[in-house]
Amino acid sequence: MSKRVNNAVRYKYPLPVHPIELPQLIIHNPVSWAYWSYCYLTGCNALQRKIHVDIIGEKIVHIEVRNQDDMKYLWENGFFGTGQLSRSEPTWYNHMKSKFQNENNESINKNISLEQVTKLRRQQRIEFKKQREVVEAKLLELRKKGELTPEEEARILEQERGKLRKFKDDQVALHLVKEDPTENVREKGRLLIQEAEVIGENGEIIQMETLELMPVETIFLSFALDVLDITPSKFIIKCCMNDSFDYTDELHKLLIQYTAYHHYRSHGWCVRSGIKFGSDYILYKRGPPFQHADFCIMVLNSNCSNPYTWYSTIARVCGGANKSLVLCYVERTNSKEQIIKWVKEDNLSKVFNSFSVGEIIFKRWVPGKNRD
Amino acid sequence: MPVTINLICGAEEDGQTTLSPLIFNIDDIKKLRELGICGILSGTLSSAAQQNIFLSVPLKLMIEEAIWLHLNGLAKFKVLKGDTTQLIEGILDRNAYDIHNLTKERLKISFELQREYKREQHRLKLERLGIIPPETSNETTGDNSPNEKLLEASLFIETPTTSNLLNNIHLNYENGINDYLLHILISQYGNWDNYLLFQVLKDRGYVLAPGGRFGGKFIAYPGDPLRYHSHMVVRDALHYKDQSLDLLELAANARLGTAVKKIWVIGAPVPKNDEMESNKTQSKKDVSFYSVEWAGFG
Repeated sequence: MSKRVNNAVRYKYPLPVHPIELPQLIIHNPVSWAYWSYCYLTGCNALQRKIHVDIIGEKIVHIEVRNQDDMKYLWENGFFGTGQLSRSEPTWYNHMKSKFQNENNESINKNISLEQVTKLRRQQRIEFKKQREVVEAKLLELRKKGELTPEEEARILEQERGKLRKFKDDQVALHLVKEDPTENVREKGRLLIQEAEVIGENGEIIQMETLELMPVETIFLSFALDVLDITPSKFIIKCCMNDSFDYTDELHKLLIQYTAYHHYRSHGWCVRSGIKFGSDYILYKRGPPFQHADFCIMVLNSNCSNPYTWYSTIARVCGGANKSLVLCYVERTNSKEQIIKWVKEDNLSKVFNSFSVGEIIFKRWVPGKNRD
Repeated sequence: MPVTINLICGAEEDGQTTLSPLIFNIDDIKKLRELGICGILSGTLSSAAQQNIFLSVPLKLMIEEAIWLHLNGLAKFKVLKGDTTQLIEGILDRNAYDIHNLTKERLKISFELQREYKREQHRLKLERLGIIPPETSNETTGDNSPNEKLLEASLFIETPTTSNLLNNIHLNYENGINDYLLHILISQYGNWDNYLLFQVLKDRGYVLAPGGRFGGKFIAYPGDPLRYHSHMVVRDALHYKDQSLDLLELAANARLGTAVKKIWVIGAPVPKNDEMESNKTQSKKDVSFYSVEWAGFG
């Protein structure tokens, strides 16, 4: 519960640009009026200093943020980017730090990182499955002998189930205290290898992680919010236009992807890459720490038609993860030449205004399961 | 004894004939099951017509299965019914003379039967009227020519509303029509590489079924589907050299496959010199496979 409150404070703002907070206005006090007007006129919510990004690579670009504070800022204000060595939030540094502290103090650290939690859960699940297999084998053996009356079988089944449940509870209770010794040894071995590269001369951990932005995030942060120190049109040209300034498929893809991204961001969703679910984006109501994503977005050309298997595959993957699949069709309403011209003129609002978005939810409908 | 695969012809919008292979004979279905060809039962049970979970004959085969059976000499084709104009078109040109003779022969038999019948009726009538004594043979009623002429004039030529032309052709030119049907099946079949995948997996002992449910072309069972879960989802054949694989497709399919405890398999014929391409129905090309799994699922 306390974690939730922390999150609410930590992720207070949905975007890197914050609203201007004006002082309280006391109507019968003229000084208050003056101060309020002063604040109103001088208030500005542009960032003091634009965030620096490095664009690496010629053919396939990587957009990286290296400054620690900037990485943190972009993550905490709208969940932009992905830590290269972490699952999504750049936690690698803290992760390493806690590991080393663990080693040195021989004490149990209460701040386990999310990756560790996942790992632990997976281990527990494997253990649990092993136990269950043993139980099932035992039951099968009894059944084969044929000495089992139905009542007896039900009783044994209930008994074993109770044991399993207890095993599971014990596991959860014990996992912090007791760790598998062999696992620990292996972990230490791995750490030794990593240590050489990770620890600097003064015994400090070197931050090796950077925050990587998707191209659409980069355009959003530079074009829509103006918090990055790059020009979005130049970025687009660098990314996917050759010297002859043709309207390539790559460019088209980036433009429709961005249109969709901007569309959902401007409707207040937290949009992140959906590669885990085989789709283009996933939409969070607030952000990954708060709840699971509800929707998977596939961005498609307005005239796109795929074989049925394609739809059923994606829908099944999304359905398996309890998400709805949204097919987001983006249509180009202006000529290619016009769009190229606008990109060159750095008139991106017009470029993105020449795309329109339409959505369809794709759902597998089972008559037997959808009666309510 | 090869099994009989019945082909139902249906014309698509663009005039191309499509054939669906069906099997009606239970013994044939048993035999195929032993060969690892399972097909899909598609007929309604007459006793429980309102459900569609438990189905009955006919057994519908995948096109690959039909082609495989035929190429291995395990089955012969037979046209069952449907729009056969396209099929007949070619046949008429090639077999006009035989068909003509056949028709003539049939007409002659028909006339003979009619004559016999009419004479018999005539005799019975005379008997009833007492003009001739009973049990007289036909000959003694007299071959008076006016009667015969009347009889000839009363013969009917039947214009049938159904045709068993193809049946007869089938009987006379068994191999010819079979090859012709095989040709149509193959031409209707879009991607020959998929058949090669089917063939190789089949020869390695897998039982294959359509894989639409799991987002693939086939699913492969290590034995009879009633005894095993399937192990693999096989994607449409992919030309490694010039076809690219979409990253999202890779992620989605590997995830789906892993979630249903199968591995996702990409296969394609190993590219060889063009000479081999020309007679592809005969040559068994090398096929290579790759499998993709999603790591770290608990």
